[in-house]
Amino acid sequence: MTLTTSGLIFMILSWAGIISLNVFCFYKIFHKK
Amino acid sequence: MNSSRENWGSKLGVILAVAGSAVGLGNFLRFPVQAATNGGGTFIIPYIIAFLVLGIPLSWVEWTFGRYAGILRHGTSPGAYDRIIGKPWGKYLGSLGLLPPLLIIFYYVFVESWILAFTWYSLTGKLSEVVQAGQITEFFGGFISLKEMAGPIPAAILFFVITFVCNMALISFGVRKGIERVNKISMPILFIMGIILVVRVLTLPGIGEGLAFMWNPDFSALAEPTVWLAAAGQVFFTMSLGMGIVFCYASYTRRNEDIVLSSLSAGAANGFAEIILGGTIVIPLAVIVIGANIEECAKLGTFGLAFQSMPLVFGQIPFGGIFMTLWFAMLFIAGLTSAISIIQPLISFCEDDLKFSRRKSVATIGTISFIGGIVAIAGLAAGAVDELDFWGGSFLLVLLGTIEAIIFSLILGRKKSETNPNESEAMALLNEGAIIKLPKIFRYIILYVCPAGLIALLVAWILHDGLDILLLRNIASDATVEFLGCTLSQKAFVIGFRLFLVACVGFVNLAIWYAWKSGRATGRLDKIKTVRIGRSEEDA
Repeated sequence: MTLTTSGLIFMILSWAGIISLNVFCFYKIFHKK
Repeated sequence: MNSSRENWGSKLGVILAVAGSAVGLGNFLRFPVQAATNGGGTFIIPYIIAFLVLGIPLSWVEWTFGRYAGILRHGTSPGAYDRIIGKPWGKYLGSLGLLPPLLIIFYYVFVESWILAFTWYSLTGKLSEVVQAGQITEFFGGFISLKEMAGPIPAAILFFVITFVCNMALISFGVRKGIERVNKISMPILFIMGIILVVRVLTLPGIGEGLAFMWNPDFSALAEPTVWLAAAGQVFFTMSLGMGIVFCYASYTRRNEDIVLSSLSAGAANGFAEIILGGTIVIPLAVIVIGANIEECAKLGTFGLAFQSMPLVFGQIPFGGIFMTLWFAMLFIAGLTSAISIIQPLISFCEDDLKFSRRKSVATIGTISFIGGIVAIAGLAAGAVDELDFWGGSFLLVLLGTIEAIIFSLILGRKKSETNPNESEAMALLNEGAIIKLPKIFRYIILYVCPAGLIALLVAWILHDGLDILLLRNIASDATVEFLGCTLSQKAFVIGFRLFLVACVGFVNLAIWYAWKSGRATGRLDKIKTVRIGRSEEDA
């Protein structure tokens, strides 16, 4: 079995989603006015 | 006698502590198997939906309850429910929040001690020798059945005692100097170790084949109700919900400090450990290095994958000994931070409701959990740990989570706030000091969708998985087990063990009765009762 394009898309989108959520949360915490 | 409570030293401290509690074996071992066997990449769709309508809303509910309890100088649900429900039975309903930590700690420290032992064996090279001799299954079996010796005593007992003392020593330093400090140091280390392992896995030849098992989508899986149930269950268990832990940790936050963003941040950090670290390391490695298929991985279960497959995998890659040590050290950090979070609600009950000193609380909970641990070790082969995991680690979590969501929605969500007349008590407490205000749609999700979803999850889970275990249908009538040198019917053992669990429930409720009867919990002794939710502790 090889990694299909749709598999790669699911993986990249999942990674991007969770990294973005972490960046958003921790940016807000460390840049609190 | 205590009249004041500790607070977290920093916002990052509480976030890392909650994330440390949530990140555990489930992130690295349960999630990948669940995803691979439930539609691969498609699993992420029901997973995200469950995260949005169950996970995060229930997490906010628990943080709010924790804040409510903390203002009243309680850290667990008996104190909070007594006040919220306003009936004498409220505090006994709250005993459900003490049972999961009590039952889980009976076996969790033992499992944590296996990880410490395997970290040590990896570091000394013994595990590599065992793998090369092709005896990892026998070695693991011998270790947990106390046949592997360290001098005159079984190695498993030696590591259990070391782990137990380590947990209790850390927790004895308190919330800020113990729990917060441990998490602030160890969680970044855990993430660095995980990222190193992910980079190693992604640079292995043929990694696409391994990732295919994890991420290639099977859209037909979305039509399967079991896939949605698996996703909801995974989100629920991975975020440490329904265990009284988030509740307890949140009770130590300061008044007017954000809880909306803190909760979301802890969930995001846990998601990182689950989706990126958990989704990349175990299954792809097992598939490409030892040629395991998904069915084999699922059959091995969490412990088989962690303690048998992964040493085999690391034994076959260059510098495998180093990565094997990293793997077990990472799991040990995850186990340690989770273990101290499981103990803390029990310590909090002793300190806040029984008014014990911290030393006396640690000694009391230490003694109880040590005795429970010995019972779990003695009954491991007979199925004691499975029973504890079913009741303490599965059934009660979903039940307590459902009750929390209902109480939040029907009682706290309908009560007018004393500080903000336009808001309900629930929303006023949740939004107090928030760095990001709760989006309006989540008010409806928390108050209506989340309780309905949890009731559906509880019913579906009981019908799909729970009923057979509840009614002992999963045990053959002629099955026998060994317990303390005696051979007895497995059904008889399980019934006997459930009577022991009933005794634990009675013991917890007796302690609650004493705490209220003596006036220690209600504040008759130190005027705690004068604190009102609408006013800060300092005002009172």
